[in-house]
Amino acid sequence: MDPQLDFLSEHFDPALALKQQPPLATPVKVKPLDNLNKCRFLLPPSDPNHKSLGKPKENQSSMGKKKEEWEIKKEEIDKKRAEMIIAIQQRAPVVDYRNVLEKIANRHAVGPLSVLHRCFVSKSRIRVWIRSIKAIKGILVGFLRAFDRHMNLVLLDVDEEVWESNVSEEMSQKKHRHFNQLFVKGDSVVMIKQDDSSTASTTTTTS
Amino acid sequence: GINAEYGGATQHETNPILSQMPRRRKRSPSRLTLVVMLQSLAGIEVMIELRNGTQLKGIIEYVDRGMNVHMLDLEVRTPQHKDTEQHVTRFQNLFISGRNIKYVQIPEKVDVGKTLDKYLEVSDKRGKMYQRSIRKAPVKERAIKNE
Repeated sequence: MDPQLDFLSEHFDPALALKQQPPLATPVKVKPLDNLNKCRFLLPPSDPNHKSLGKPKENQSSMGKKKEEWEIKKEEIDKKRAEMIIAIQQRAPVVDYRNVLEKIANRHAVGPLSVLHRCFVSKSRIRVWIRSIKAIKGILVGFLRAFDRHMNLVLLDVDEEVWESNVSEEMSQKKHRHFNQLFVKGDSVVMIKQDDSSTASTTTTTS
Repeated sequence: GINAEYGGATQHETNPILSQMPRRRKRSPSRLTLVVMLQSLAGIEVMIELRNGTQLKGIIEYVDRGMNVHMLDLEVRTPQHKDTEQHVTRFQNLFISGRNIKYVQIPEKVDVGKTLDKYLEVSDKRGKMYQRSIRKAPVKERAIKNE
């Protein structure tokens, strides 16, 4: 081995080594010195620029520290989040945000159908007159669950009283039926009255 | 929304599929009446009484805007008078004009408010799925695009 090309000899010539073709095989287990500062430990100790090797950085432990700190932070954040969720749940009760039937009814809070709206809000029993072709067919008495502008109604706990046509009301046979939930189409509705024992009876009519 | 690329034309005018479809009104008027409530009863067995007293007991398949009802698996009872007998007929499939409906008897266990709210929630979600501006490609497609 030419001493000029031998890395470990004192006659090593780096310029010559670099010009070699094919390039010299570099020793495997050598740590590259990236800058001059790192070369200081190679100088003799008497040299003013010499710097002895300090303790190597404990890379593993610094990463470990960071991880720990992060995990502690994470725990705190999770705790806070959990507390917030509990606080929110306790503060605001779960509201069914849609309530479409109420929304429809509220469109008629003002106007002639406000009478119906009042019955809807007060959840009072109402009396509905139902028509046949030329006469009154009968009455429905029930609680108002929903209504709209056509006077379509949803009634609860309904008692129906029907009488035959062509006979006067007193003389005709009255048939009774009961329904738990009934949708009534507004076509058939003639008149609606609030069936409370209150002094002022409210009425609303449709032709 | 307004598409700046096409000089202010809306999606409905530029998109070849949307332009052929009927335009949806922004605040659908059926939301303001109780027709939606009947529409939410699809799949439930009810008893519909008609203006002439006929009773139809069956499962609601579909109710449209005019309250016309399509029913399945029916039992039809003709009105009872003192002179006439009552006939009971069964039908698989029946379409009844909305004009002829007097009552719809809803079974007690059905909570009208809840069924309606659920129905509207589902139909809103479905409607949103088909809006091109909002619709996102499924996750796989997006991953391939991002590569």
